[in-house]
Amino acid sequence: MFLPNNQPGSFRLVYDFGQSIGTRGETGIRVVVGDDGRIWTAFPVKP
Amino acid sequence: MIKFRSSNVHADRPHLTHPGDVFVGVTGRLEIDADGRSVYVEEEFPVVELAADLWRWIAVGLEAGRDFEFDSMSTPEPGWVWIRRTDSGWRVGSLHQERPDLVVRSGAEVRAAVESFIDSVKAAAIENLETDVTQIIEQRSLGN
Repeated sequence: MFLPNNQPGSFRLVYDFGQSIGTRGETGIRVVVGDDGRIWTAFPVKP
Repeated sequence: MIKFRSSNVHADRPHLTHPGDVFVGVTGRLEIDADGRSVYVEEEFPVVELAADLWRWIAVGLEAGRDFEFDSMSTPEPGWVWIRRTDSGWRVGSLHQERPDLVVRSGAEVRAAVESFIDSVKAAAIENLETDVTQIIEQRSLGN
């Protein structure tokens, strides 16, 4: 799922793996990507 | 008086050439102080990212009466810092606040606190990191 980011020139991508991948039961990952394709940050989330 | 204080602004990476490096890699101590009482303290807070979000909010959102919710790219939960409208002004707080500030603040007081915080972050970035973050903070997104 593509979402806007809080900073211009970037966006958020959230993918739900459907199974636990994080230590707190997170099943998804959020990746923040710049418009140039560079990854800014990524961490597990509960989508 | 409400105050957003930043200190110990530093970077966790050697180069700050890309906006993502600055937003994610530059952190510092953030304290929200309400009339001399600490409401919220975080030692490793993304202060440049907060300054950028607040800059856009005071440019548009404050006058429009829109709430501010800091939706950081460093945490899954929004609201690390919030400024919410009430019938008679604004309240300031955090999702992780140590104690609530129950005082309703005027728009002028909130604006002054935000502008002072932004200026302090810019100054600390120059002094501590030899990096001018003005352009990174003052980016307007579509719709602003």
